[in-house]
Amino acid sequence: MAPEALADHLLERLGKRVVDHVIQYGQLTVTVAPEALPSAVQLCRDDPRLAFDFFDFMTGVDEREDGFAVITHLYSVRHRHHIQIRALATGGRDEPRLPTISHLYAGANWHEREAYDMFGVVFDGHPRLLPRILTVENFEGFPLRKDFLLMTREVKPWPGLKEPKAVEDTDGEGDGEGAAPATGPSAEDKARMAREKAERAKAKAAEARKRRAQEQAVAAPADSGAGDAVEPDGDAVERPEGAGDVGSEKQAQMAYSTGDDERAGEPEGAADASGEAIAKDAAAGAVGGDTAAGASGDVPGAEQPGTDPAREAELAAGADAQPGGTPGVEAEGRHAGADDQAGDRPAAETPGMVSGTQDVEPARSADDVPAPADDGGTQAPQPPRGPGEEEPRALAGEGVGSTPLADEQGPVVGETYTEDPEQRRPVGTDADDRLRDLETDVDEEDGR
Amino acid sequence: MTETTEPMLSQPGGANVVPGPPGESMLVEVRGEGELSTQDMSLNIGPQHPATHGVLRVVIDLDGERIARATPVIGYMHRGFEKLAEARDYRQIIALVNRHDWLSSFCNEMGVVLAVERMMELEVPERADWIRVLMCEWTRVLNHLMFVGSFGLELGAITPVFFAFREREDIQHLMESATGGRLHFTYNRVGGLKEDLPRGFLAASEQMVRNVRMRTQEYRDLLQGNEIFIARTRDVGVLDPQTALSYGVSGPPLQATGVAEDSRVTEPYSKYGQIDVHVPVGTNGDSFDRFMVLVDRIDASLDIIEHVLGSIPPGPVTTKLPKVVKAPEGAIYVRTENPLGQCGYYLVSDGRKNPWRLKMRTPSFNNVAMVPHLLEGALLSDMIAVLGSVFFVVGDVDR
Amino acid sequence: MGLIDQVETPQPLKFVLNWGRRYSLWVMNFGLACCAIEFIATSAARHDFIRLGVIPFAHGPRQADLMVVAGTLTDKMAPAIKRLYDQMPDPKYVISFGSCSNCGGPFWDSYSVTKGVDQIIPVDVYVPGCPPRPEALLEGVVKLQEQIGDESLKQRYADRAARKPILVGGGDPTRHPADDPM
Repeated sequence: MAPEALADHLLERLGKRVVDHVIQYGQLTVTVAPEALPSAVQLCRDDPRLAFDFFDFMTGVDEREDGFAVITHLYSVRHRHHIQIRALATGGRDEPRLPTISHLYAGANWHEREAYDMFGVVFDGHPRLLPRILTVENFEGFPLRKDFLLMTREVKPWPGLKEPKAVEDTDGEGDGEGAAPATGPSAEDKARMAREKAERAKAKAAEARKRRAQEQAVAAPADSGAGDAVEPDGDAVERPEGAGDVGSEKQAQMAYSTGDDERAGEPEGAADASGEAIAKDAAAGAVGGDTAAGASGDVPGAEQPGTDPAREAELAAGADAQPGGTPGVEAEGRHAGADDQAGDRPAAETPGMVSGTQDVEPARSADDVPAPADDGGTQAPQPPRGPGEEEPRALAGEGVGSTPLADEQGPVVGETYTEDPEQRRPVGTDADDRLRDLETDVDEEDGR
Repeated sequence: MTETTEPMLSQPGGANVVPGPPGESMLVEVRGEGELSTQDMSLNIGPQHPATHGVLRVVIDLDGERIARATPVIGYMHRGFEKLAEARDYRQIIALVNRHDWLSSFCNEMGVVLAVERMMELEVPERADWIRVLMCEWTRVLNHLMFVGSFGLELGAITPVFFAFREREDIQHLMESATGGRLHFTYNRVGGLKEDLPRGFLAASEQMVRNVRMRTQEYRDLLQGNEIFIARTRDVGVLDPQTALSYGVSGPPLQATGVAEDSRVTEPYSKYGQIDVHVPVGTNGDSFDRFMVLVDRIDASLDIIEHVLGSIPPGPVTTKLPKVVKAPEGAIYVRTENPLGQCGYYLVSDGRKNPWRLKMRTPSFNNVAMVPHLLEGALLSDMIAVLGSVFFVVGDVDR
Repeated sequence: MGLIDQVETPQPLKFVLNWGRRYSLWVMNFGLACCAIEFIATSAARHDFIRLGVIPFAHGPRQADLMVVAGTLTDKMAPAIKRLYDQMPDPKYVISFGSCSNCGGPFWDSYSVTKGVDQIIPVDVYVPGCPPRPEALLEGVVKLQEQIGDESLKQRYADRAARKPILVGGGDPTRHPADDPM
């Protein structure tokens, strides 16, 4: 039954015993009068249209001045619907009491004991509320009440309670959420400051990328052309460089500043840098000669953290696998690149649901892959690959013994496929090493 | 010694011990109803005992070999999760809830994260959703392997536990490559995952599925036909469905009674709606069925993993979140199928960055509540078989 | 223990006796929580601490040399652990495995958790982690064995306060939490 229908049915049957009902997130909570709790629960259990036979849980909630509410959550296996029956315990915060339902559901026994343990709600008619079920027998106080404070946190408040100032939201974190302080920045100022902060961050990131690109330009003589391509416009370089430094300095300053005043002083200077930062970003995205990489200069974060064109371009140009999240670990997936759709689509012949299979396919070595090309043994540089193509998989055909997988690409025609694992191994990814060990171990054991 | 008819020792129930003539044994004169009365003995099992289930204490009133009444005493692992959750923000709660059911850590995180996401009405990226299912199922396999091993160990079969841990090590190695943790993953985040899977993970997963499938068959071979195992678990601890539902039992114990109640099927969350989940069901409700359901669940999970491996789309795995994650005011209950049963999180929020109330509805709490019912009338030697087959984790019971 | 705890035994004898003790540590199964799973993993085939001489088959505290407290110690459980520790015969060693038993761990602010098993019993080795890797436990055991090899039982019993615990992974036991930079 849908929650609305349930609600109607219950209201009809329980009549004025229902104090309130609310449906939120598709779930029905019916508040009944405290003395009506057992009869309401019994109705839920015995009415064939409701048939709540599964006792889910029972718990208390601290309702501040109103006292303690006890929620009983029931589920029907037959009809697959849920209900929460809520009852506010009588007696306020001093002596909360409710009638028991442990005679209706066997599971309620322990749940009521726990509610007593945690909140102090006494269930009339319960066979044995004491000894305490969860805490020590001689525990004093009722832990989940809001006036029961965690002493360790009182003695030394956790420092992370306040978000750091530099990245603090300007919407009054920790202060009254609703009230706009009279001396605070206005909405337009806040938007402007947010935008400028974003642009400063982008400038700093672009500066870092530019530095890295320059390092690579130095390291790879084949890409010396890229070094020039980084600065298509001589003029555009000087000012962003200066502004970029300023931006990054101010960024650094901002990270340690504690007052809003310093930050208020910044936007004026950074506003100039914003335009150049956008241009510089576009320039930095041109590493490897790919000027079309759409460094959009948008406010970062407006889109999904997916495509990073500068990054993709770098990868295409043969850069080392850089860490995505954890350092040293190259991420599995490609982020929403159209080129990669084909590569990542599942291969039709995944070893599917062959249940209880005993026949593990024998470890396939290079027999099934095309014969190695002429390269044999020489440390050839990585063959040029088009943008978006993955680096050759070190795990492909190396005794994994599997048919090609969704995320694996076989050697592309024209690409040099080498047998030598050393050549194929990507640099510096420990995860791959470990996984390779794992696979070889596993296969050695399975030599049957 | 002079004969005397005075009762020298008086037993309850009216049996008198009268010394006989010297050189002869004592004459025991029994008066009263006829049966030699006995005294119930109260035996305390735990809280520290060699079984892997942790600090559960069971006070058993024994009538000879028969258990008259069993009273579990819990709370020895009560760490106050619900109170701690109120003092932590939603990022920290993910790390916290890893630890109540420490064998199914990813599934726990999933429940909490789903609750927050539903409250905030966040859309999780497709790839993240699929990877979550993958990790959930691997966690399920890890959990079930543990219990396959420990159940055998308790009944005296030493081999399965070493085999199970061999599998567990391999799978944990795999999980560690993705999440950094062997036991507590903290891989979920509100709105997705911490980061993408490492390269090679899916390939290794594929291989692992094949291995575990093969070895699950080994567990079946070792235990399913073993007549000692069958004798110790057949018709031991029989549970009927009505009682199980009344207690709120869920997971393998409930499915063994014949009720195919599984949240992945009845109220699918994440990507389970697009996957054909097989729910193995028992017939008898005894320990043997519970164990067989467990082993079958491993296979079912492996099927799901295979399906997922072929379906993971490319894309991002994180969502842009506000600086401070605050759930809007309201309350929500999210129930997921954890390896041990239905694990629910009832989250009451008042709009701040930490919850007002986070109730953890843990499967083991209800399952262990059912243990006295199972043990009543059972033999003491069956107690271990029953307790081991209920599959609980004490941290889950006590939170 | 005879004279061993009152007389400084001569080096060859001490070497032999210490050698015997360090390489046959019978450990009592005292897994409490999640760390118990990693403890079991350490005893399983891949990491296997039996090859170091740590034998997990002690039938009870009275037949054990080593107690590995793995998991959170709650106030309800604390008397039990004290009792079990007292039941162990000397010389006995305690490894605190995991951050919950080191210091309360992630439950540092809980109302029902004992913040560290060293509030109840003296600890010889602290293995940090949540949960620690099995290799960390192996390192703790090896370091403990080295310490046992060098120790003099007379000194050990004479001055319990002077015992310096081993911290796996290094660290400064004298640092006070109040001096934390946070």
